Order: sequence, then structure tokens, then C-alpha cells
Amino acid sequence: MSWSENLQHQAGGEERLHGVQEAERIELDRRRAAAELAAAERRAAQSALAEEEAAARERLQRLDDHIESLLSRDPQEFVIRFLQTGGQ
Amino acid sequence: MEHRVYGVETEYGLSLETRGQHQLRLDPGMLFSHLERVLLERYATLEGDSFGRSPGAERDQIQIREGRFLESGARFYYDTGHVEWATPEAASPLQAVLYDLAGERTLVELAAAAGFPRGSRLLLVKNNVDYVSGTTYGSHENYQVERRQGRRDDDAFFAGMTAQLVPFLVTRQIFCGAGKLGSPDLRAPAGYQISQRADYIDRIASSGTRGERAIVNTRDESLGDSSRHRRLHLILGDSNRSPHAALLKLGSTGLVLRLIEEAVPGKVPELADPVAALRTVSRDLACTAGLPLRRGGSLTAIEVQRLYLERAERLGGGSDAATGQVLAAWRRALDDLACDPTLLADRVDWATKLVHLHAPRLARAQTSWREVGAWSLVFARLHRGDGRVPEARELTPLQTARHQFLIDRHRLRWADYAAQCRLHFELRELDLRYHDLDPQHSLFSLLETAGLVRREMDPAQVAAAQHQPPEDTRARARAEALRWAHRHGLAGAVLLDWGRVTLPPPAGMVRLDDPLAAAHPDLTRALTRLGEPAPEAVGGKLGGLLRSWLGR
Repeated sequence: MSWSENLQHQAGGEERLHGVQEAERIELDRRRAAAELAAAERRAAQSALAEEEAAARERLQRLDDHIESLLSRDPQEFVIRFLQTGGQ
Repeated sequence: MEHRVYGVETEYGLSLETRGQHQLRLDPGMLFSHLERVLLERYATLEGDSFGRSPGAERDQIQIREGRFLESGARFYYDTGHVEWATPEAASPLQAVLYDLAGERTLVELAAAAGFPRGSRLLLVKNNVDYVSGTTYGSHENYQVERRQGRRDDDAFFAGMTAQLVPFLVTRQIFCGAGKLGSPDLRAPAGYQISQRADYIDRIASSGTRGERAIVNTRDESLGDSSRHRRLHLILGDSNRSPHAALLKLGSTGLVLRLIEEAVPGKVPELADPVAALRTVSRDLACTAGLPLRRGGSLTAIEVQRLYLERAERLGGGSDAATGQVLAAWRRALDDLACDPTLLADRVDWATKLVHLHAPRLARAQTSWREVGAWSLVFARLHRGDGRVPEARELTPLQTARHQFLIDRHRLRWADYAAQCRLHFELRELDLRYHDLDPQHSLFSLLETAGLVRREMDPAQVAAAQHQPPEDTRARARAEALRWAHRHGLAGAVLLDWGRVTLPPPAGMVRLDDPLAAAHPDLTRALTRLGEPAPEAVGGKLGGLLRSWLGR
């Protein structure tokens, strides 16, 4: 192989090597982006779930408060005064 | 759905609650009179006229004030300490539930307009027990069933019907029980039960409704042509706030009656002791208890129900949309019960109260239904004449010594007395307030508004049912007579009963024998013949004569 041929071959090899390295870098970038996206999605889902849970807890608390507001301060007094005649 | 008449009669608990949420013990008859006064102001009505019809009424010390029939065909009256509302004759379970809800809505309106002292309100409670004296009051179901010709054949047919119905009725509470705390039976403690009425049913068949109560009531009072139909009167059921549970109760029972009438059920599982089984099912919140059978072995309530459901599906599956709806709801209920009974919390009262009202309290108090039930025994033995239970600091050494055996037997601790006493009454107040009819105060309404309980009926349809009778039963004929009487100023001279209309002379009494006939030509002819009498002709002295002629 002549010097110039050798140089050309080496350049071709470097080019191929560069191509492989570039493909690997792209793949790595793609994987990293996919992982970041998945993580972001997980964070968003967790956050939405947490928000949903918080909203559900808040709804239940409001319901509980509403129930409490309808009850008497003296449940024993309430119950014993609800005295009924035996019916059919 | 097969063509039969359905009806529901509900007795309501009554109490007047002041602004400070104290309750006043007032004569229920007086409270009824207030409601009746508003009813007369706001609704077209006619006086009811049953002439003390019920043969067992005297024996059972039943005190009835006739009350009024409404344009919808419903009847509002007073029965032994309770305001009672009877739906008009309905041609389907769904229609009966619709008119039951219309009754609830009308009673709420009457109570709001009754003008009780400022800040106080009438509590109308659609349940079946008080938690003081252990009394019960009913929600009775009525089903038109076939007669067999000949007394002997008919008696045999009814006896067979009773035998085939009993296992179904004993176990259906798992999808239509209203739920209750404790038990008046001090030998069998219960924290929470599926049924309100199970403790009060003490025999398989009887005609009584107060002194004795049975799984199948045998009172034979058809309120129509008794040679063709019987009115099956069931008194073991609970009052439902959930329309879904009420629909399941009426719909499944109607389908089982059809199986019996068409001789489909064949052999049904014969329970060894149906009354004991009724109580076992009521106390079994997991719905897994085996019910002993007469011929050996046992079945759970869910298994008994599946036997009836599968036969009903073979008979009625796909016959019409209404039947399909009931069958699907029945199957879904049994599937959910088999998986986890709390799945019914969105549609069946006992599960709704358990999940959304009672269980969170128990969790907060770090206790169990076993402990709550055992403590209720202690409180039942300690309460004074007025129902009040002594506070922990008021307990005497003699009282603690006397009840130590209960504390030991049920592994309780006196240190928990104050907290359990508070919880005991909190749970009962929650329970009573769930059944309150007033949507501004009712815990059922609150859960429904929060989307935790299914809303089954269109409010516009319910509102219409307050004034319009069902189009396809004799309730329509009563409405015709009522409208005629009011149009002619004769409201004081016409009396109504379920199966007859008493008109001024010369028409007299007209029978409405067929409850499934919307048109009654005899009545229409009589009203046409009476024509347009001058209103003054029936006022004053003549009005009085008419009333005495009519036997009032």
C-alpha cells in the first residue's frame, strides 16, 4: 500500500470510527432523553397522584366537617329523646 | 317486568328538634295534625274511609286515623304513634320506588311549612327503630299475587308459596338491609347488624303486625276482588333511604313471586330454623356464615340468593328492559358481596352507613365491632328510666361489681368506659341522622350529594309523582273521583278507600275491584250521572245529612 493509499485507508477508518462513535453518542443521548422523559413522566404522575390524593383527602375532610356540623353536641341527649311508640 | 301491583307503606319516626338540637317529646298525634293541616292547605285530598277494616286491628291495639288520599293516589294517615305514607298502587317496582320518594318529598314540604316554633324543625326519620326503648315500626311491602280457585287449593298454594319464599326473604337483607346498631336481645350482643327488623321477627307465618311479627304475614285482605287476587303483605323488610336498595328489594321479590306462580322454583333449600337464620344473616357482615339446612349441610346467604337468581334469569332474562335491569342489579350485588361486601357502599344502606359513617369512627377510637357490641350490653344494663347511661364518675362500686362479669367475659376494661359510652351514642346519632328525610340535615342526602351514593331517580319525575297518579292502575280512578269532587265543591261528601269510592246519593258506593285497571267504567258512569250538582246543595244541613248517610 502506498503512502497516499495508506493515508486514505486510515482516513476512511477514522471516518468509520467517527461514524460509529457518533452513532453511539446519538444512541446514548436518545437513551438519556428517554430516561429523563420517563423520570419526568413518573414525577408528573406521582405529583398528579399526590395532588389527586390530597384533593380526595380534602374532600373527605370537608365531608367529615360537614357531618360533624350536623351532629349535636350531646349525642346521648339526642338519642334518648328520639323515643318512639312501637308501630307495626 | 311482569304485571302485578306493588305498594309500600312506611311508618316514620317523629320528633321535634329545637335550634340548639335538643329534642322535645311531643304527642305524635299532635305532630301528625300539624302536617295534616298543611296537607289540606296545599294539596287536593279526600278523606280516607276504611271503617276499621282490619280484623286484627283491635287485638294488636292498632290506632288508625284515616287521614287523606291525595291526587297521586297515595294515602297519608296516622298509625299507632307514627305518620304513615302509603304509595298508590304501582304497576312496577320502579314506579313504587318513585312514588315512595314522592311521599318523602311531600312530607319534607309539609314539615317545612308546618310553622313549628322558630328555629325548631320536625325530624321525620325513615327508619325502623329507636335506640332507647327498643321499639320498632314498619315498612310494609304489598304484592298482588294470584289466587287458586277453591278454598282448599288456594290455601295449599299459599302454604307452598310461603315455604318457597321464606329462604329468599331470610337472605335478601344482604342487598336491601338498612343497617342497625346493637340489638335489644341481651343474650346475643351485636355491634352492627345488616337488618333493622330481623330482631323483631319471631315466627315464620302469622297475621299479626304488633304482638307478633312473622317472615310472611298471612293477613288475607285483598283490597280488591278477593276471588281473583291476594295481597301479599310483607312486614319483615327495612325502610330504605337508598332507592337502589328499595328497587332491588321490590324487584327481586316480584321476580321470585313470578317463579312461584309459574311453578319454576322446584325444590328450594329448606332452612332448619328460618327465624334463627334471619338473625344469623343480620349479624354476619362478611356474608359468609353457613345457614343450616333441614336435610343437613348448610348454605351461605349469597349461595341461597344465587339459587333464586339463576332461576329468575332463566325465566325472565331478556324478557324486557325493566326485568333485565333488576336481574343485572341483583347479580352485581351478589358478585360484589362475594368479593367484598363494602363494595355495596354506593347503593345499599347498611354498607353505606358502615363504610362512610361508622367504620371511620371505630378506626378513630381504635376499637372493634366486637367491643362496641359488648359495651352496648353493659350500657343496656346500666341505663336509667330515661335511657340515660351514668357517666364514668357517677358509677358506684356496686354497679361496677354487678357488671364485672360482663367486663371479664367480653375482655373489656373499665378504663375504656367513658370513651365507649361517648362512641355508643355518637354512632346511634349518626345512624338516626342518616335516615332523616330533610335534605338540608340528612346524612344520606349529604353522601348522595358528595357522589358517594348512587342517585337513581330523576328529581323532576319525583316532583311530578307528587301530583300525578300512576297511569296504569286504579289510583287513576281515585284521582278522577277526587278531581270531580273538588271541581264540584263536594270534597266533604266523597269518601275514598283503596277498593271503593263512596259518592253522594243516588250513586252511593262504587267498587274498584281491579287494582290493575286504570279505567273503571262504573265510576265514570256514576260521576257522569251525578252531573253538575249545585255546590250549595251539599253544604250546610244537607252536607251533614250526607255525611251521616255515609256513616261518618
